[in-house]
Amino acid sequence: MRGSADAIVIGGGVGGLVASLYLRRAGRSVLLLEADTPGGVCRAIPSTAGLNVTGGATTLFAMDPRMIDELDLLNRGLTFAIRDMPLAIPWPNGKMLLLGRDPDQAAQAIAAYSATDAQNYKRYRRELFALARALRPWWWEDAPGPVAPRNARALLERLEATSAAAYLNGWFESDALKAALAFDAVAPYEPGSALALVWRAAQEMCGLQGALAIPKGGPAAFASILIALAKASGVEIRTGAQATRLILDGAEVQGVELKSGEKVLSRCVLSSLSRRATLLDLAPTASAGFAETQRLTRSAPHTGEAHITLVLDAASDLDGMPANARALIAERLDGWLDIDASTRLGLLPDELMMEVVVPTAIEPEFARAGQHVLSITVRGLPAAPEEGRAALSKRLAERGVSALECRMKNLRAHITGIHFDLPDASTRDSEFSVSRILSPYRARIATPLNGLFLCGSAAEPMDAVSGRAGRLAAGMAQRWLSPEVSP
Amino acid sequence: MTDVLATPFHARASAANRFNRWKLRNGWTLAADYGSVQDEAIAARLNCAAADISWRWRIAIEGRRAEEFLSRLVTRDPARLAPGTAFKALWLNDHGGVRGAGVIARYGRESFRLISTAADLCWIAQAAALFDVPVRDIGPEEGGLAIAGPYARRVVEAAGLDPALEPSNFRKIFWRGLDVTLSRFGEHGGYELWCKADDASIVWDRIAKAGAEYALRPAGLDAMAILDLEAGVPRPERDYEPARDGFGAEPSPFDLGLESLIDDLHKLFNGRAALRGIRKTKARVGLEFDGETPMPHMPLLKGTGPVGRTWSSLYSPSLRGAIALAQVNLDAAALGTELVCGGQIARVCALPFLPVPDSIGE
Repeated sequence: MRGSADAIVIGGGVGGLVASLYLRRAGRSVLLLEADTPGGVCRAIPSTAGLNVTGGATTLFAMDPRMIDELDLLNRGLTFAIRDMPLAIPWPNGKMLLLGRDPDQAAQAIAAYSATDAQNYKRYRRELFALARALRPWWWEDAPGPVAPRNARALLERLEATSAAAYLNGWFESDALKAALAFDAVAPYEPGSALALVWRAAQEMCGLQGALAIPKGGPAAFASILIALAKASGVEIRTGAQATRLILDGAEVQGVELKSGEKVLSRCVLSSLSRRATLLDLAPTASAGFAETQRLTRSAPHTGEAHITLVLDAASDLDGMPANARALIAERLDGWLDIDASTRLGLLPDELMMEVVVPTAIEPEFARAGQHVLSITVRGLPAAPEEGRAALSKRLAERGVSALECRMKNLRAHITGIHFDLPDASTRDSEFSVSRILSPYRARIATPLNGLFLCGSAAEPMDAVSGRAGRLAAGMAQRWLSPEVSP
Repeated sequence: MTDVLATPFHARASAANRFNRWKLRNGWTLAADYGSVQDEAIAARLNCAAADISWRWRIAIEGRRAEEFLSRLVTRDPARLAPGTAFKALWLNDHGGVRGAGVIARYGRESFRLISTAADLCWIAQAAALFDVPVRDIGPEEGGLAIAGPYARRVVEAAGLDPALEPSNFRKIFWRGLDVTLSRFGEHGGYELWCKADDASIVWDRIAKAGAEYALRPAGLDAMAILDLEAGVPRPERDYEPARDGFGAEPSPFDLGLESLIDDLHKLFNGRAALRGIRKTKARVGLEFDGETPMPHMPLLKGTGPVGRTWSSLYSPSLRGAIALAQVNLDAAALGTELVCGGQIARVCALPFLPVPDSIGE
């Protein structure tokens, strides 16, 4: 047994760090427990010294502008290497379609392949972005419900039941375009996943709606700014401290027990883990409620994503892809259907859906001199691979490189190192759920246990490095801790 | 349930059921009455009556974590139960809606029974699986005979059973070659005798023989329904629709007037956190009518405004009038309030309508 803190934060990812910072600003003593080293998916991988490789994706798209503003991150070293990355789509004929921010230019580019798609793209973008702007108050702040303007209400109601695939099919005829745009919906054949596209468009990076950015120094630099800020403001960070159990009194949280057997007491616990991991693994059996426990048990995700970093000794990018672009390699929209079928069986799908970014082309500091880095995100992998995770990783790297080689000559000869990160999907909540994307933030952050809040990416409408849930969770925790609420 | 089941007492019941009137309850075939509903109801008030209660849903909950599971399931803490004792409790869904009510009896350190008038196997078995606790329906294995009325104690004594038993207690007895359990779980006073299905006919005969001196007569379902209503106990499915999903907050235990079955000191059970946010808005009351027995589930008016609904209603031969259970708004729940039900006046009265009859010989 050791002393107590006003609030305990489990997990030192971006969500956990932001929540700690806000609680500390409110004058609360905060103990942050991190099983490994802080940073979460933005943590620099130690074995890749000098490479600046992080566990998660290199790009960020959902950072909370209010968090950046209120924590004054721009004056504490946060700068962006690139604020808006255009989208590059490899076309089956070997060419590359480039979609930038300007819809007119994008439409012109599409017109080279399909006149209908070019016309529709502008309208598609306008509809999506307008609805996204209308829904922002509800996803971002304290709005009581999805308040869409009168003309968008029917669209919202329709999208709640529409899959991203069906929505895109309604707009476009080119399969390559549809497949690439569906990448951001994560599970494009799930009913309601069209809303995932809206949510994605509602995000803002550096003041640009629906943009994709890379911080200077990569996400690891962003995480280290938050860590330094947390340490400076007096957040007690304990690394190597894995929380194994929540201590409860009735339905009220009383503290956390660590793997070492040590118990830390607190009336308020914020968890960056997923709802499933928090309520099923940390809390006593069924303390979330029988029906909720069963719902969480059933909703285990069957797909996951992996991040592969290829270290090359020569500059190499996809044919025709500008250095600052983000390439989405997804040939057929139907490929997502095969993914759904394969991943349910635990098999590696035939077609890989990949996002490729070349961070060293944007900022050479990403690697040592002469080294080049190719950062690849692969979606639609089996969460519980039949062949085992090690075998899957091996086969995946091989298949990924083969797929890229069609577009990048001599890629294999230049590879000097591969770093592989296949996050354990069993600790995530379902990859996409309409109820999660449609629920107000309170429902995503609060739990059936009093004093327990979620602050990680699992408390966002969709998994993303954002910090928004951390900020909102800290506000809810602060209200829980303030004397007028205390029993 | 599609099968129509015969209770272990069926052979004896069908011999006694002179008018061949039967009803179904929880899938079991039971005598509606054995000749006269009113006579049977009055016998259970003034003399004694024996009723087949094998239709009640009974499950055995046994295992290392049985106590932990039940503690999470029901609104009172089974850790406080000593073997041989029982209590009445509710079980709620995640948001505080009442899913069921029943008696929890402790048979041993890791062995419990749950007895209820309405089955809820799916919910309880799925929840028990989270704790690795097996749940077994013991309905087909055991028969149950209720002996109600002021002379119940004398009948039990005359049958050669020791009647010394506190209410809510039970005891296993080796009764002249039969393993039986004698309990006092019921709301009507009296005893319940539980036996193996194969021994049921012998048990019936022994009780009938011992009761002959006290004019014991079998009572059918209809007479027992009168006793139930006179005791003012709301029953799931008869009076209220229990919550049938995991997340609805209706019906709340407060609105059913069942808050006395929630132990304030029991801090962690399913639905506890949700109860914090639920306020009582309705009350369970009794209604007396001067005229005819109204249909069940009739709207109630106070002046011209609707204030609630009746639940089940029937003619009580002991009170010589129509009575009903009802759920009304709090402002219409004061004793003596006159409400309008289907064109006739109903007066709000205290529950229970009739107290449990004094046991003679205690």
